[in-house]
Formats: sequence, C-alpha cells, structure tokens
Amino acid sequence: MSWERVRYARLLPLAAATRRFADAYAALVAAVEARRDPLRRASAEQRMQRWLGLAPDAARRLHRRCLRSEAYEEADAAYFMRRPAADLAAAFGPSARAALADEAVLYVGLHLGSPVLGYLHLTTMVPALALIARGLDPANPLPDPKRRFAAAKVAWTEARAGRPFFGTDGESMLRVRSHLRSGRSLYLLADVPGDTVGRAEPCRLFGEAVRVAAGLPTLARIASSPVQTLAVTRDGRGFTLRMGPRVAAGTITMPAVLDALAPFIRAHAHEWWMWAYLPSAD
Amino acid sequence: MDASVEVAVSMALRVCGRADAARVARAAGCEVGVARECLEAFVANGVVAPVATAPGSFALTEPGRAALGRALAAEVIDRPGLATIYERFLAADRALKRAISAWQLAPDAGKPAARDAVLTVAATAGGVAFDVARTVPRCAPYPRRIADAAAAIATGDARFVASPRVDSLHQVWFELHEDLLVTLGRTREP
Repeated sequence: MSWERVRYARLLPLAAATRRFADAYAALVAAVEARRDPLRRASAEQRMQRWLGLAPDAARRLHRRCLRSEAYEEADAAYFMRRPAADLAAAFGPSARAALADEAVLYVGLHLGSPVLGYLHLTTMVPALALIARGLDPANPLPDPKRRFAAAKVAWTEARAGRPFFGTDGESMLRVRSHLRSGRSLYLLADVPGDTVGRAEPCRLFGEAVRVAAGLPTLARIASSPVQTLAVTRDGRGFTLRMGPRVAAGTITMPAVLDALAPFIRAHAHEWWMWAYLPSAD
Repeated sequence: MDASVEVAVSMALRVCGRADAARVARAAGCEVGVARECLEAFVANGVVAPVATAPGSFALTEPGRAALGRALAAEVIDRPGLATIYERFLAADRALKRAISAWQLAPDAGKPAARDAVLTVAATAGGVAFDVARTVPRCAPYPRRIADAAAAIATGDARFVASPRVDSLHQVWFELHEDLLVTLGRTREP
C-alpha cells in the first residue's frame, strides 16, 4: 500500500471521526511530507528566508507548520463532511459581516488556512456566491487516493453550497461571465501558480517577481465589481474569516490585489501553502 | 535555568536511564546547549552523575530521583484528567505492540501491509501523545517524536519501527509510558 493510500484510506477517516485526532494526523502527515519532498522543502525554506528574513532553522520550522496547516485543512474538511451544517457554522467565530456588501463582489482569498470551509461559511452570508476553481481533470496531477478524497470534498462542497464550482476552462468562463453580469458574487483565490494556467503575469510579492494566474482583473472588469480581499485562518479548534482591504472597481490589477493580500501571508505565514509553488519571474 | 526545563531534563534521564546531551535535548524538547548547561549544573549539585562506562552520558543519582519525585509532586497538572488519558494510552499500547510484533514477524511479502498497520496505530498513538502534551506541557516533544518516527517508517527506514539505537516509534512510546508511570506514581502492568 502506498503512503497516499495509508494517508487517505486509513488515517484521514480517523481524523474525520474525531477532531482530537486532527493534531496527530497533521503532525504525522507533515513529518512524512517534509521527508518525501526535499525539493519542495528546500524551495519553500529558501523563499521564507528571502521574504521574511528568517534563519534556516526558523524557516525549517515554518515549513513544517505550513505542511501541518495543509493536513489540518484535509482533516477539518473530512470531519465536517460527516457533520451537519450547524457544526461548521459554530466553528467560525464572529465574522466580519460589516465588510460584506449588498453589491456583487469578487471575494478573493489565498491558499491559506481553510479557504474551502471559508467559502462555505461565506455562502451563508452572501447570496448566490459561486466558487471558481481548477477542476479535477486528468491534467491536474494528483495521486489516485488523494483524487478520490478531493472528488468527495468537491461533491460535498457543491451540495452544501447549493451550486456547482465553476471550472477554469473556456466553457466555464462563459458561465462565469453570465453569473457576474447578472450581478452575483464570486469567490476565488489569487495565488494560483502561473505555470498551471493559460495566462499568467509577473507580480512582485515581498520584493520578488512571481508568476500568478492573470484572469482575475478580467473578471473584475466584466463584473464592474470591487475585490474584497480575505483570508480564512484556523484558530485553535475553530476558524476566523478575516477581511482585508477592498480594491475598488476600475483599479483592480493583480499587483494591487496581491499587495492587499500580502499582509495575510506575512501574519499567517505558517498557514500559507504556496511558498514553493509560485514560479519565480526574475 | 527555567524550572520546567530542569524537570524535563531530569525526566529525560529518568526515562532513558542514561543519555548524552543530544538525546536529553531531543527528549526534553530543548536546544543541546541548554541541555548541556543543565546537566553540568546537575552534576555540580550531585543530582546527576557522568556514566563511567559510557563517556558523554549521564544518569540520575538517587538524590536526583528523589528531587525529580518532589518536582513532579509539585507540578500543577490535571492528574485525574491525565489518569483518564492513561487508560486510552493502555488501549493504544496494546494495539501498538501487536502491530510492531506483527511487523517484526511478517515475511518479506507481508512487510508492506504490516508497516501500514504500524503507521495506522502510530497515528492513534500520536493522538494520545497530543492529549498527554495538552495536560502536561513538558510532554510536548512526544507527539512530535512519534510523528518523526512514523515519517521515517513511511519513507522506508525500518529502523524507526523498533530499534533502540534511534528515536524509533517503540523507543519513544516506551519513554512516554515510563514518563506517565512516574508522573502518575504507578507501576508497569504485567
């Protein structure tokens, strides 16, 4: 049995059964992944040192915490997939309702903390909020056990949200345009690596040029909507939906959005998963 | 020196029997320099002695064991809560020992399945260790060490199942067991 099968077929169900087990699951998965992927580890730790001025030891510890955060996200999703919606609502602290608007908004987050559970929480406050995300197509490289879990998670999220995800292919984009033009809101992540999409642009993050997906400003122009930046962090056994600066319609560029999101990466560096994955554009 | 570090260093020697500064540091969850400084102070006070047959290693003296007993008695922890966790520890202990024995006895063809069973119980053991660490903060290194041992096993280093020469799953679990027995004032069950 491969490690992925042990992880997804044996360990994750234990984490889904009791939240207490999530700590052990996250620690174990982080330790294994740190060993299995030395290239990712080196790349992430070097970037942590450059961007945050960390010493090598501190970067190593931070990378381990980031791996734990990714594993917690899985464990938390698996746990709430087995429970009623009220349990997830109760896991979120007081949310920044004041930052929510009646108008259509592009809610833009990061691969940080718990973005999918954050989306589900936001759907309880924002009518007709749809999520745009890369589909689980064959071009998206995942080991089979992880793909099966991801597929179950997508199905659960769509059922709980009451609407399917929008993909990132051309046909999906047409439906996204209709969704936005009818004045409805969208949820998407800004830190999509530029080497996984058709159109990318270089942006500076912590002084370094990185390539990220470039579609967001186009969507904002179609919608004539502002961008509300946000992050969803894990705090103890619960979650916090944190609202960042709003970027006004007409001024939305990828650099402007990333500038607004960068403080979340600095403040919650241990929950950001993309340290190794944003390709350099220098 | 922080009193909690002193207790952690003393307990590391108590559960390991004898250990050098690096092993003490791993078990106590402190830097090697801090462990070395603490051990030197303990030697000066007579609560720890160098082990003549193992250069660089140290062991608790009788006064040291008594001092540790007093320090543990004064430790402010939820003892009834820890006793409840200990019951769960014993259940995990049985499962862990069964899985490790099965792995040791498995023929080559059965080793991967036996290893996966060890990893599964290691995760359960890690959960118990986290509960212990939440109740007794100085026990925080145990869950991390269990995770590191499991990671080594998952990536193919079989020494980390049960070898006493590395921080193996069995070794760390054994030390946690000793720690719980000493902390709760119990004796090992047959």
